[in-house]
Amino acid sequence: MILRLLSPLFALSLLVAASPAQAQTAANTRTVIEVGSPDFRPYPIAVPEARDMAGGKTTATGTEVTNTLRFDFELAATFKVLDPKSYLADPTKEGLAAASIKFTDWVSIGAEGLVKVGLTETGDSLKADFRFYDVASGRQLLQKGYAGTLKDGRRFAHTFVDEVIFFLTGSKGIFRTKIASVRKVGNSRELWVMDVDGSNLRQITSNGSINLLPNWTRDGGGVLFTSYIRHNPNLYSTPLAGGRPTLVSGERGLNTGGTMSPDGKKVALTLSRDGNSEIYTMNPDGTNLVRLTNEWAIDTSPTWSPDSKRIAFVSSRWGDPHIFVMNADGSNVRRVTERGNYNQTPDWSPKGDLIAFTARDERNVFDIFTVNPDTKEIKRLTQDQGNNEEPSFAPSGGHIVFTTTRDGGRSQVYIMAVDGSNQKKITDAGGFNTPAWSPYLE
Amino acid sequence: MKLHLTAAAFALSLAACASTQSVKQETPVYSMNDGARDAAIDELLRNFQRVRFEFDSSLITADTQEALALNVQIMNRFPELQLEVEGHCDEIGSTEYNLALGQRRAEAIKKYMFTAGIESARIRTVSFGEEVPLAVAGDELEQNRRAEFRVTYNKNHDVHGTVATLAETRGTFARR
Repeated sequence: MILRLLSPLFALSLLVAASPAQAQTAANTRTVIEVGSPDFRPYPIAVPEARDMAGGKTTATGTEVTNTLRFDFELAATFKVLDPKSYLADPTKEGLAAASIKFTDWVSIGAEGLVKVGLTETGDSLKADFRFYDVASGRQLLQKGYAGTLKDGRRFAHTFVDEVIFFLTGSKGIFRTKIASVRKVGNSRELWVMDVDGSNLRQITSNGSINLLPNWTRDGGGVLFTSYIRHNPNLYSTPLAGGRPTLVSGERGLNTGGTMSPDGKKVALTLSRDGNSEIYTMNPDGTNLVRLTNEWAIDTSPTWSPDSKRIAFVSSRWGDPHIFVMNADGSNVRRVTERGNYNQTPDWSPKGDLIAFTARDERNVFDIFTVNPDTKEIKRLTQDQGNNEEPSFAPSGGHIVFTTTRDGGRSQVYIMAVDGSNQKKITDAGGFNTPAWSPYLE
Repeated sequence: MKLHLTAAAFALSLAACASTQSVKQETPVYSMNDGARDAAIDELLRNFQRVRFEFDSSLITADTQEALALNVQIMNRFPELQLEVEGHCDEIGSTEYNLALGQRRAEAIKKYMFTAGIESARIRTVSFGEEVPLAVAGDELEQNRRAEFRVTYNKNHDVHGTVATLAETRGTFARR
């Protein structure tokens, strides 16, 4: 808790000459990760098998916890999980406490951090003891205890990874967030929600109609989406917990891509009520409709800047679809993608510096790029691996979820770091599109 | 496949509707001869089959213009006829962009017919974007760039089946 309070100062201390008090904090935590610094390198971490405190043998829950920890640390991209085959210590013998750990065994395989987990399973109940060590000093940096049932093991692991990331970087971890996506099954399109590692996949609409374009509400309690349940693409809001969707916008024609501003005061969406697809804003209850664009072209796919002052969108006003940015009142429209001829699906990073989008290249292949809306600098994140589309930023701005056809067959959901590294598949079921990453949920 | 099915459904629904009407003895708003109207609807749908769109375009081509002009005449002869125009797209591009493109295609048809004298209240538009493809793979993907038409009359009697148009264009683009 103290760490949480200190974090803004702590993060700052990495960048500027620290005051003595802050230097003390940094020294105590032996922080080695400076995210975004030019000499950044992944932090080597060892994650041995979770230990069953009762019997000493590996349990199903233990394996799930271990795999979740390794997946999350790998995905986090600031870590390199050392190959378990290289570990010298016997996970069934070496204990959790510092006194029982032979740190030289971990130093010699190159580990800087070590995660130790002890699980106590009694019937259906589960107690978990998670620890994080600095290998060089042999000091315990974090210890967290969690209690619940066996099915909570994975959630405990996500929670602890978030704790470690927060401890080391001062930034909130993303492993307790969720991803909403549309899944095509036969002729229907239903909304599904999953954890960041693809687990707990759950269907949240089952009306047999066409449900599209989910976007999370600001509190993460539900999603806005477009559905044809009344034979017109209307905008609805549905709570994740279940229950009937409520109509947000039912104008004749398009009511698509509803997306809530980060300050929660407005919803931007595309309507065709005036005969052409244009971008509007309104209050979340549907009142106070304001039209922002006025071009005889396609204007669609609004996405908010994190300060809620600007909106990026797709427009074909100059012929081919490109990414544009305007003020939230519709003024000051500027084109930000100057290359390519088919740029769509902008998503503005919660950090503000980048807009991710899908572009089609000269070979008619779709890939994901980012553009800085101010400098217009473009970076390519995917290449030569099928079609990659529909990026959506994690609330940290450090990761992007997207869909890809790289595995052949039906499109799958992948996650990557914002620089395009650590691309990881999180679904097996296939048929997904338009994934949307939730805000922080805890 | 779907084309054949809808054509069959169309024929059946015409027959079904005619009998329903005689049983209920509803008085049509306009007392037109059923046979003449049915023939006109057939012709209307046949003409609509010529409606085509190019990739990422909602422009009304010359051939489409000709077909729509003929249908304006039919709509004028049978004022009880109403249209629902569905705009559809191929799978290239994003879900939301294609919804906008499908809407534009449907609106372009409505606008053309409106300009030629058909009241806008008689034409409803709806876009399905890329969500309801006719073809899902191979060389036929361009067929998905289409409009589908539903003809209704004497409200409460939704007669019709849809007829799709085959669209064309700048080379094919297959992806899954």
